[in-house]
Amino acid sequence: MSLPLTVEELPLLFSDLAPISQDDGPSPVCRIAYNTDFVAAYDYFRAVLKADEKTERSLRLTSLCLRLNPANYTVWHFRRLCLYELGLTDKKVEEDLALAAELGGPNPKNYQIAFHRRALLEAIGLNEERAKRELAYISTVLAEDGKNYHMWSSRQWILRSINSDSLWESEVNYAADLIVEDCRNNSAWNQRWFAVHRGSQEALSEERAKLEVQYAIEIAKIDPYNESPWRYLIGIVKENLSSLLDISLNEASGFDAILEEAGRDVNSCTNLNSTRIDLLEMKRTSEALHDAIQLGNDMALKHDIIRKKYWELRVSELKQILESID
Amino acid sequence: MATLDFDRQRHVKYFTACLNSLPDAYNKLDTNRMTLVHFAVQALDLLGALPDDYTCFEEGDTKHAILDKHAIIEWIYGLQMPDGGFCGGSFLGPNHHSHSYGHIAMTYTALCTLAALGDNLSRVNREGVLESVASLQRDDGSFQCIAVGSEHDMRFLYCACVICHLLNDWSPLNKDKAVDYIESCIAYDGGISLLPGQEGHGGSTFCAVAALLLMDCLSDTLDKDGRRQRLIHWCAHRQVGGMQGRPNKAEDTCYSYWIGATLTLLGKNDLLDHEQLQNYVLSCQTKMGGFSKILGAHPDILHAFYSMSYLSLSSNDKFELKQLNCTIGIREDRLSAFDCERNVP
Repeated sequence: MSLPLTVEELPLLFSDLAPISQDDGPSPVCRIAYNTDFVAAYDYFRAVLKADEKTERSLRLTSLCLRLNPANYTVWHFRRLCLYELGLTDKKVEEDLALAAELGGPNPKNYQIAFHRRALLEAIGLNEERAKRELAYISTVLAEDGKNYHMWSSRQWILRSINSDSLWESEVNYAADLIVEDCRNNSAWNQRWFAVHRGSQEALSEERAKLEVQYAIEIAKIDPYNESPWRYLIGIVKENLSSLLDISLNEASGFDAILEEAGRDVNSCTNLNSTRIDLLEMKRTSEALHDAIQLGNDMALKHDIIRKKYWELRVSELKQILESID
Repeated sequence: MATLDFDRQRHVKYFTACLNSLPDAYNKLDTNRMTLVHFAVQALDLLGALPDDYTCFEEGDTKHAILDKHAIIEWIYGLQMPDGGFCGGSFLGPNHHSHSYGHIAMTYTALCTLAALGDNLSRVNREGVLESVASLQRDDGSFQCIAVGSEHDMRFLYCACVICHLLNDWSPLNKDKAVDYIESCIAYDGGISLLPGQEGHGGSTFCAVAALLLMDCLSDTLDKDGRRQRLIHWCAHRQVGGMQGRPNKAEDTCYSYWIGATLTLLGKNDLLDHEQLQNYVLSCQTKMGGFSKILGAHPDILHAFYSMSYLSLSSNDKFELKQLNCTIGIREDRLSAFDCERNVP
């Protein structure tokens, strides 16, 4: 790969092309105070775009333009056209993934960079080897920010594309590792759900669902105030109602002792009690609904006052269900 | 230090200044200038500060014409693409053929901004806009944003629905597929994600609910399997004082709008503690005007606009802001510019 192009080199490299200024009309709005490098680079980009020139020098120009604005989707698109025209090889893909990684570092929320990676991998073919390398790269980004939405989306795309048992299982482990690091990383919980379900919306087997319930309970014990494991539990139970309901209610009641031992007031653990309310509603017996209503009233009045009106609504819905079964 | 009093005049100055020029930190939004114009114009419109209102920006005895709305209208039309739709800026230069349909989010914001500025939309290439939308729907029902290929997700599905609604023509959009896509994005905890299998997120939740409403499929989709209840539970639990966009994430002012508007569309706006939420948003008000994403940061147009939008939907006149239409994201009374039914939910 040639050395990065500098703005100073542009007039010489493109001596045969006249740069084209941006024509913002007579009264531009939201004018951006571009620096001179930006203006120069993009004046040449407009010229290259007009000439539809897909060459090595155009490719180098797009690198310069992307360093100045890594969100310009037209530049990324034109860069891909240049790459395809010049012949996409493994080496070229590696080089571009490196460029994307370089730009991605300071721009973690950039959609275009993530899309470029995917477009190139799709163009060259996402085999298992490339998939593993890409997953390794994504892991390095997630190590910096374990909740980066784009990176999780990319991971999901890769897993679905390869769809191999070994990759799905290793992903469950990956999510579990991240949860060990931070049990409140909701993205990791979502990924566990995704991996355990093999990216589909089909319910788990009862056997697997039981394991997931146990897992959620174990992690909830680390910090019962954490919302993530409880919502995961409810998701699993809802999907696979029958036997899991009583197991879950049982496990939840065990938290009274856990919290007491830690010197905490069980009533203050709103995510635990919210879960209990959901489970009791699913149980749908008169006794269960009465208990749920009691818990809901306490939430509204004392323990989750910011959501007072939500809990009042919830209680009124529970009362309606109670009336309908009585 | 930030004050908790709504600083109207500073906001008018802030958005006006943005309309004039932006610092080079906005380089990275060069392709999205149309959305930046939209944010500034809609914010000024909510403040009642566009020229044809009588509460425009005053200094002493002088009423300033704070902006030339006709110039903005011309700038917008200058970005209408040859085949249809709008581009976000003039960065392409004279070669349009590779992006001849523009960008769907720029088309959505162009139409909204033209309406806010009082344009009659007669110069909009209606057929072209509809063709541009048709070119962007994918097999799974989602939308990409440009015809040559891009990421595809709930944001652009929402944009497509708004455009079809405003032009009162749903022919470019396959509703069944769009609804299927939305259903596939309902996460296990009741929130709605940007992509199937992904984490529930405040922004995509709003986009999905608004899109369903526009497609007249909200009830059919949510009133099965307890989805509505779980969605409301999820939204209500995003308030931690201020509003977070996902469980266990930090507060961010824009989610006051995404979640607040979602609950408004579900008729459950009252479930939030608006006093606390307003306090959080107002504490992100800055001396320069506008609002920042989090406490103590610099303002940016996006967070400033969404903070303002939230204050409008929560306030019932408290901040002297005009009524916002939460589904479309512009002033309610601007919708008459479009040839669709006035009773937008």
